[in-house]
Amino acid sequence: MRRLHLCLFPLACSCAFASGAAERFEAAALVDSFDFAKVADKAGNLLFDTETEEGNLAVLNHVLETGATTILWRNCSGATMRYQSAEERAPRVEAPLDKRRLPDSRAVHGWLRYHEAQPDLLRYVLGVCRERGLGAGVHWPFEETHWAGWTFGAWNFEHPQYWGVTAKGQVWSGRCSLAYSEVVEHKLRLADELLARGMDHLFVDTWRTGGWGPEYECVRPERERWRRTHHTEPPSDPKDPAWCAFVSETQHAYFVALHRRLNVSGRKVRLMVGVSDIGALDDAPDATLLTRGVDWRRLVREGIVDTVAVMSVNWDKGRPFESTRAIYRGVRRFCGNRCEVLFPVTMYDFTRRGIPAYCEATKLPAAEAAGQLLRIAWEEGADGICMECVDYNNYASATRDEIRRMLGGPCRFKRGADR
Amino acid sequence: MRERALRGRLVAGIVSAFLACVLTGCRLSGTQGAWTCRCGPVRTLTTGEGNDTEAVWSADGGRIAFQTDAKGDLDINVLDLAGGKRMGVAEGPGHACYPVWTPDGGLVYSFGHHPGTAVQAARAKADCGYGLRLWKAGATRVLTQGYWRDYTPSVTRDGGAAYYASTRDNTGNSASLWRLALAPGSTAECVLRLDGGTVGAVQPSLSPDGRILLWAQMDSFRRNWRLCAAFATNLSATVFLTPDEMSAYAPRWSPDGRLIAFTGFREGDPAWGVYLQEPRSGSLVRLETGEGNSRSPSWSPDGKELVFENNRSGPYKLYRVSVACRGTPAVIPMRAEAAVDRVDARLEKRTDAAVLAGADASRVAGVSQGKGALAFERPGGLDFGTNSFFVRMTLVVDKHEEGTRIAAVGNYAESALGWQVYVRDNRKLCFNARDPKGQYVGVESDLPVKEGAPVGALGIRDGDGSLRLYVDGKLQAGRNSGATMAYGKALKVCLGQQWNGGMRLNGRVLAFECGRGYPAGVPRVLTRAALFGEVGP
Repeated sequence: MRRLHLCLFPLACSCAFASGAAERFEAAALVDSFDFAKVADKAGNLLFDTETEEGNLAVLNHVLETGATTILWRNCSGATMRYQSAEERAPRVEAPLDKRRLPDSRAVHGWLRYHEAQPDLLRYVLGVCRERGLGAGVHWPFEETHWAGWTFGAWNFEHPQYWGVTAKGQVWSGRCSLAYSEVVEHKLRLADELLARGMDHLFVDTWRTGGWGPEYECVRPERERWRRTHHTEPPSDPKDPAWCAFVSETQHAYFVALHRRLNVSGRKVRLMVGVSDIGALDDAPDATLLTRGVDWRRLVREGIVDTVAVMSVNWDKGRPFESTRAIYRGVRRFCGNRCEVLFPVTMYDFTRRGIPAYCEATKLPAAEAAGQLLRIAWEEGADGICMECVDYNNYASATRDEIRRMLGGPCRFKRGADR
Repeated sequence: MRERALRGRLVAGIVSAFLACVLTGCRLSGTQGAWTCRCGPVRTLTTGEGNDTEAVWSADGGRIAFQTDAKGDLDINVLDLAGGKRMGVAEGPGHACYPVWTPDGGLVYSFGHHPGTAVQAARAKADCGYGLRLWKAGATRVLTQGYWRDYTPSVTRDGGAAYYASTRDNTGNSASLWRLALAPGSTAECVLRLDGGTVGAVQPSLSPDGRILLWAQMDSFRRNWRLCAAFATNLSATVFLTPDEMSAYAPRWSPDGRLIAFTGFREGDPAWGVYLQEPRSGSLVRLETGEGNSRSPSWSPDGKELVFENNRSGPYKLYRVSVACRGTPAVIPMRAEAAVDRVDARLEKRTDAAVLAGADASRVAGVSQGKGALAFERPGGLDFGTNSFFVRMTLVVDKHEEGTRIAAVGNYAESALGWQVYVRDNRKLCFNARDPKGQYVGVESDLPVKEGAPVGALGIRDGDGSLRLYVDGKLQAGRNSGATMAYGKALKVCLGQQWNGGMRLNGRVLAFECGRGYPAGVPRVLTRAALFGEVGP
């Protein structure tokens, strides 16, 4: 089987090159300046001052060593907003000036104030990407910010009436509920801020929910909607698939509204959705629906998203690459021509499904495993790859070289066949 | 004519009374008994540009200090209530915030100024923390300063010391409680160490009689801010005063120590509100202060009024309202705690076998899993329900290995990993239990475990769902709560490995026991009754 692929691969490459209509195979990199802020050399000298233009330029140059073609900059998380957000500035957001936000005690990290940096950092990095012909995008976690009271948004703290609520009646500042139109409007205003800064690609990451899930959606509007719909009380088990599917309707409506907002922006802005824990696409509800309340397949079916970025797949440790290929094929087939598909080539291993896990299962070095995954994605007709958390040297030099080599050579253009 | 005027006054009076009832008042909640609170109309104290917040009333009742961002950075201003004049106390570059009066008219506040980037400050080893300052009669004295944040101070009634939150010596997203005597040359001391991921205590204040310290605490990212109190002489035994369902912070004692005012929010509330609690009973009242968020209440020295901030007009501005509570609230019962303290299973090792001996005289033989790991099938007595229980063991880590390494695990139908003692990737010792949904709730040790040396671990799940971890007899700084899963009968206990094999400890378990209640010498969870005494008239 592998031999067949080896034969097919150069043939397909030459076909792609020969085609005048060949489209570039995309390599999207998810980048968080925050993760570079504490990087130091052996002498302890900090390498990236990410509250400055120069520091972010250095971050970009490092990321580009992977051959990335689209840069998705984090707009929030890890601390406060990464730009001068008017929407998230009410009245003071950082610790300890808002005493509800526990301070980050780590040196450098705890003292970053991206939201006050001059010039506006997100506007700057998006501009640089556009100047360089790179995809200029934003990586927007589906959560409020990123885990816990030290990072929740200012708007969240100002509007507890929209917080999530459990079936037990416990309010939680983890995320405001999209069941309130005021929250959706707030989110859309945040999208406007990103558009105003030059964002061309918006990647909504449903993996990063900050601990939020359908269990926190027992808010008044959802409970009342359930009663109107089902004439019963909502299920007592917040993980009930019926409840998760019900909650997903509200999340879906948000995506529809977001899609509409991007479409009226006056320029083509791509809406991408990041999904994780993808397995065989059978009839069973998938993990994203059950744990995130997002029905990504419906988003695809209804043409709401332009791109599905698969962030992790549940490959079989006994057949790492074969099972990965089968899952990729299923996703590609499902999406068909309805949207683009990116598959993961990721060192991020929180899910134990990233390149380190492949290395452990196959005993291959990281560069080779990355190359294999990139090739499988390309061969299965993906539109590109998604590299999650391109931090400093987490893609080692050899891995960066290998990915860049393949993106510049055999996988420069989409395979295009069997679409 | 006179009759018309009288009628007009009557109508105006009725309208005023109606508006006062509609716009202000108190919403009682829970079982309040004969306790009633009334508040008067809300009156505006400040207007104009900027946010005016964190107001505190001077001891003589004539002035209110607060922080304002009218000029950009936060400054401390003082409002003279008689003349309405505002005076700048700490102004200029940097943030001056969280003012609090000393009895003799001074102000302690937090100050921080870091104009550059975080990296520039680190490279220059420049100070970019928040420290405490004392302003008095136009002179300012630096009380604390360093690469940390000292904030939300309070001053004891005698003016001798300040309690405050600080990140000093902390490592995570956290804040501990510190105390500093205000006499020149005094050294600050940490009185409650809380550290780790998302755990912290903020805005401590000592009760007027000096017996009880009160603060707001957050235990983990899934939880809410809650009010917490303890005897000032022993902060390791604490009581949560507000329910887990509620978000509550910024507590302030009333001058007579009978009430606590704080900022709170519960499901159904329209916004943040000013709450009052009678701490002996746990009774709560939400003051109806009109539209917008009402926050950070502070008492007048006679205890008859509150000053607070509200954003009904856009920016936060200061308002005052009179409040009076009468009667005796009914006690809201805390969850009854089982009185039994008992070791329900203890490891007995002989040269040829290991047995888990039960309090019920049962003996479950351990099945060797190789490399020193043992499994005990269906040990009796470990059905703790929702009551407190403990796991105590002595172990040796011969050599740290990558990944999580299990020292002990209790396997239950409710959760396969019901409780565990284990060593994490970061080499720290951890203890965890579960919440009712089976989600992980854990705490970890302050320091990594040393290789080759015995270490004593004691994990406790309190009856209120709080977790504590002692290492070699010392209470660790990590805290967590919400671990209220009801434990049925244990399916299995494993020592030195995970319940289904794997995650093997590269080391030895020298001793193990677990049981309900508390082991000897460890304080039980404090109750409201024990802390505050009986409800008085």
